[in-house]
Amino acid sequence: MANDVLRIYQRSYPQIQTAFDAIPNSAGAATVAGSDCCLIESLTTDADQAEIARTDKTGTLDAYPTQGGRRTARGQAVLSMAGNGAAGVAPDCKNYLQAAFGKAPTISAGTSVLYTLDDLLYYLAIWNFNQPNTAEQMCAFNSLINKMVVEFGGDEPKLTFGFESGWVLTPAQIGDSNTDPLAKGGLTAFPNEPASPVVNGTFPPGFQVTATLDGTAYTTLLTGRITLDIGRELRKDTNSAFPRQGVPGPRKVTVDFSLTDDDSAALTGLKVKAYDRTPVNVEFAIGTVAGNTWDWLVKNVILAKPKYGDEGIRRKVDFSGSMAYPTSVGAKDHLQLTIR
Amino acid sequence: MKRKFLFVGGLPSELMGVLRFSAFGQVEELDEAQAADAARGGCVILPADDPAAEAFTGDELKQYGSFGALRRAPADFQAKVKQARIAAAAFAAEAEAAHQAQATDQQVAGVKRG
Repeated sequence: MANDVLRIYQRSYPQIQTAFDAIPNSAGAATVAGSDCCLIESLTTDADQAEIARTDKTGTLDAYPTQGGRRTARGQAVLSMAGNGAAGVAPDCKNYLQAAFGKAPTISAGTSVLYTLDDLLYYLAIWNFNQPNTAEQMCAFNSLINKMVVEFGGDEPKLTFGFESGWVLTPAQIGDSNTDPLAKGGLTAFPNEPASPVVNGTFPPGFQVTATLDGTAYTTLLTGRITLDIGRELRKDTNSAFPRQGVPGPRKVTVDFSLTDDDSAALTGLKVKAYDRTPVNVEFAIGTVAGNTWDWLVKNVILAKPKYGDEGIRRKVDFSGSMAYPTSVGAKDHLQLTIR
Repeated sequence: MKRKFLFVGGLPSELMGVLRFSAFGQVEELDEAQAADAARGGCVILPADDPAAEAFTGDELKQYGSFGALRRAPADFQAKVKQARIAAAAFAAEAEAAHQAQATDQQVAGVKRG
């Protein structure tokens, strides 16, 4: 009897590739290890191929069968904002973060881990393991993160990473002689999931947020979201059905947040700055425990015009769609994360 | 070969199916490969015979072993914690370097088909 594949048995293992087309390996054997594990709430890694119809008239009412088009793949990982718990040690989702920010973190041993924006491309091999081992297993490789969403204010703060991949390798393709070698990422065998995944820490409560808006600390934050859109993409050249290289793309940082409305001078001043389009810095520090406080700093934000609504028995004010910009062109300083 | 390792993390860490570090100062016996993989994966451990590990007294670890008590520990103990974590980071970096040295990242030849 077949075994159902249960959703709870899924884990992700994102590895940073050292080269395009090469899932990390040693002489063709994948080097994925328990240390690469990053728990996820959900993970999709979907390969696709366009169908190309022949447009010539056939002289009948029927068409010729379509031909296979370009190979593409997309995916998304959703996970809790779980920190390590020891200051200066990167969280389990470190490779997702590094690929999203475009730069390796600056680690101050025993103190903090700092992520800042840059233009580097990191290709990820994202292993999507399911149990039992005979269930479908996947590796989305040559993956470029093109979107990161940070959400807080609820019970569990969340991170979402969207990505485009070169292809998604499965065990069946490894043994299939008709499968293009480019689809195999340099592997000669598909590995089993590592026996002992290493998992560290937990998430800080998503409602323990210190919101500092234009220099004033607020305790009335309701919800917040930071979105980093990166126009990175895999080039669709005319020499292969598979993408052969990634290219950097423009960044866009958006912040959305809502507060309980009140008549404080500070909030009134913030609304005025929204109307005047005066840029402000906003900072959301999630958590209070050393080693698991996620401090998101968004600089030079032009606040969206405030919108009002009800939130239970109170009124709320919403600054959704506020855009952040570098303090000078090329400074790349409009979003940073310090885990301390 | 198995060795003893001291856990100096600030929240629980787990080698699923093997063991769980649930208190600061927990000592466990691990084989070298397992310990290296754990350290690479962010588990904050160092060999129990490392000077930074031996700096802790049994009484201190008993007193501040829970994660809550650890955060309230006095400055001199916190200084030892920081040194131990720096040593753990060095141990993890060594493990990472050894791992990277093994990976040859074989690439496929540039076969281009549909």
